[in-house]
Amino acid sequence: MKKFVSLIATALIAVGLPLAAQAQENPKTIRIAFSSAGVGGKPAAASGLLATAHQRGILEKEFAKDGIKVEWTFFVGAGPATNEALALKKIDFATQGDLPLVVARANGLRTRILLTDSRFSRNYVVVPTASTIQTLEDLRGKKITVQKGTAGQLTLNRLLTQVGLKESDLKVIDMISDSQKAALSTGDVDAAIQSSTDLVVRGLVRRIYKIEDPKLQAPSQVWVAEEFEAKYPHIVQRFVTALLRESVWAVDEKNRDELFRLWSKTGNPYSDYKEDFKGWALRDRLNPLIDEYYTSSLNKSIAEVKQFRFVRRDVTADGWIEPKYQQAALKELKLEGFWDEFDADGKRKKPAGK
Amino acid sequence: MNHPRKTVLAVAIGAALLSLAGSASAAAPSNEELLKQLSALKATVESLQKQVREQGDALEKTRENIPQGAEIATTQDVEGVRSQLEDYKYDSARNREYKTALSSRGLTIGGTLTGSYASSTEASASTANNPRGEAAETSFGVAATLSFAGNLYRDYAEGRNLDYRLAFAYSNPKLANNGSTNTSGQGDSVVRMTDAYIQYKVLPDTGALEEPKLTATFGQQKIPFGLEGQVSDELKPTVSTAQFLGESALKNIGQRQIGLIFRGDLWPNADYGFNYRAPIVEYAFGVVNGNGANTADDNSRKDYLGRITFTVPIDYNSWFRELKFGLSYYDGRKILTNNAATPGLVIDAGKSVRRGLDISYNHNPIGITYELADGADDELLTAAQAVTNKNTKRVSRRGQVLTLFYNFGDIAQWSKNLNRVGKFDDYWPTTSQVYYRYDTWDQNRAVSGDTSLKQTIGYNLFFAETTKFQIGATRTQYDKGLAKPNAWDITAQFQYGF
Repeated sequence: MKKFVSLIATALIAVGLPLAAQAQENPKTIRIAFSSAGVGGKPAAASGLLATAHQRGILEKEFAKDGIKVEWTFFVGAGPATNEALALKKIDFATQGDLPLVVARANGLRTRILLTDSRFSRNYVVVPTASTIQTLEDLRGKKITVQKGTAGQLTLNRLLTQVGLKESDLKVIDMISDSQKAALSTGDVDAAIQSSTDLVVRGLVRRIYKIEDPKLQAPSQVWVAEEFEAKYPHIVQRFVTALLRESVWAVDEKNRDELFRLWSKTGNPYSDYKEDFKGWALRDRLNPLIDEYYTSSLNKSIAEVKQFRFVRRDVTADGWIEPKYQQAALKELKLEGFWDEFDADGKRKKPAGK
Repeated sequence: MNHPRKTVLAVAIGAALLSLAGSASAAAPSNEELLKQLSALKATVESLQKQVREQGDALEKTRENIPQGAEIATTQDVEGVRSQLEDYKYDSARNREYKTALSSRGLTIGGTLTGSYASSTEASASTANNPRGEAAETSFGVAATLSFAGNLYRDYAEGRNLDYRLAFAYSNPKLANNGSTNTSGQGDSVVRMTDAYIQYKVLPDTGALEEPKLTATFGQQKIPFGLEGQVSDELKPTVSTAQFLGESALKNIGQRQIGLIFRGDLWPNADYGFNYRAPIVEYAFGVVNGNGANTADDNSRKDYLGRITFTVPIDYNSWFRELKFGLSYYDGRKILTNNAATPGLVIDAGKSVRRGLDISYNHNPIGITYELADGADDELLTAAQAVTNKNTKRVSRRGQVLTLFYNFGDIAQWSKNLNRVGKFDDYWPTTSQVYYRYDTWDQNRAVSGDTSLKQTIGYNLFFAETTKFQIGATRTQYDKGLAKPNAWDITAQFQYGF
């Protein structure tokens, strides 16, 4: 019997030691990508938890003690550029909108969704001031610009569907955000979807439609490359825990002013963020939960991406979302119940236990 | 801020009372008149109170919008900013006039400078540049190109623009591979014009990935034949060019020609999820002089060319991405001259046909290219053939090149997605590349033992947006029929663009 126990123990040690060693293995660098860049290509992002963590150096502090370097990339080419970087195994974590996220999965790129980065954003359909366009219906036959392949294109399709239009009823021109502003200023395009106020205050455009229905826009999310997650689960846990710890600071209303100041390093004015977040509690907009609103929104995006023929293949959300890191972090940080959950319609659920 | 308004109110009331007192002293009003005046005074006071309230509310709203801790700009502050803005406008206008190169149309100036070192064990023949004819030689070299490109007409609505390009190249004849394939072999060291053309976008080009494209280019330009003569370093990692484009009879397919060429594509496969565009079919056809660059045609017959490629229509993340098959054809005439006299006597216009097959697989970080180029030329039976003898012979030649390359590092050199990133400094992703090339050249397929084989290994480092370092070692093996000893060549070069 002793021999048998000894044999089992030896076997366990033999199997367990390499596993333990593997668990402790750290990457030299953590590569994080934003599917955006600041005005004129500034290396900065805004309006989300990851952007705030970047501005405040939270992840650098978290991983410095182990000598792990944190590299940030800001893709002007937005979500499609992030997808190419993922395909070439050049990034480990990223934040992305729904359309490129779903297209990537349809193309076989493997990621695990960790948490929501931001939600309930507010955008506007804008037209040059002198334009005769007054309503969404008036867009028929007009030139509208959007950065194709990004979440903005899916939002545009949802909007058009509301008024019985489709992309082919308009001329949709592909431009990055900076180019969109230039084209609106010169009147080379008839409309665009923008959140920024700079053209409005200069009197160059006027807003004809406010997009704030939670069903018209999807939350953005933070994901990890599946390969990285499989190799460094302990790093993924630390990453998520650090982000959630940071989000407590970010959603504190006392820090609203400081938060907007940090985000204005993108080159977008402070007033943009102030207006965008007006009437919203930070805690709701920067809600990291994978709640019913998030999952139903993701499933809706998957269906719409197919419906609007952005992909031919079927995509499923099965096994895509990995909530265990968030759950462990919430428990460790004693933040269970800190954020309210929202239902599929984007309406607040009663907080658990109340 | 409330204080001045209170003062105004007090003054208004005071004035009203004085007015009342004044009228009282002039003639005693009746009680009814006094009541009326008091009523009017009350209305005035209430109106003023309302104004003050409204202004106070507006001020409160303004205050609410001021961030905590923010300082309010004064008139003097605003004047200061205005003054700085005026200074900036003055400087900007002055610098534009005196310190900025201006052109009558939109212009982009570009170019490359190349510094190189070449070492060869191959004996060189005696030339004007190398009178002794060394048994082995080494040489430093320089080359440069300068280009001017821009727009002559911009179509804002549909992008049917008319563009131009003018370019020049300087090359040192000792520098065998000067990065300007189509200008080599001139044996001089002068500046020559390379590109000189205008290009019109026949089909609308608004930047949409799913739109087919068609351009018409007129002037002196590279011709669309195969890979080696026209592709950028994305598909051609080597410093040197293939043997069949060297000092051989097939070199005309790598030369620039003067003429009109249409280039376009059909059924582009657009994958917006990756900002990826791959037309299923690309085509080109045109008519050119056929006598090379910077010279008039030497006969009345034009040369015709065509090329078609097929790219496998798959999504970006497929293993078959950028797998492309191409066919090229060039049909020309060349003058056959008798060497018995100076200048040679023209005997005939011989047929000169080029056929090409190429396959490329550019799946970053892996790349493979294969190209086969066949040439068939009418030639005189002897160099001093009698003018009355119109008989010719057909000589067939064949070159084949296989290139394998692998990129590592940031591997973003040729990706517009990965190298367009937000940055403050002059950051540029670094890409390294290793390659191997197998290059054979059979200068007469009817004759055996006249084939040469070049095998090259090399390394390229792209460390800035337009700067690269390249080094390659080539082993050349000649068939016995060529009676030349095998050789080693090493070439290293820096090429920097601006």
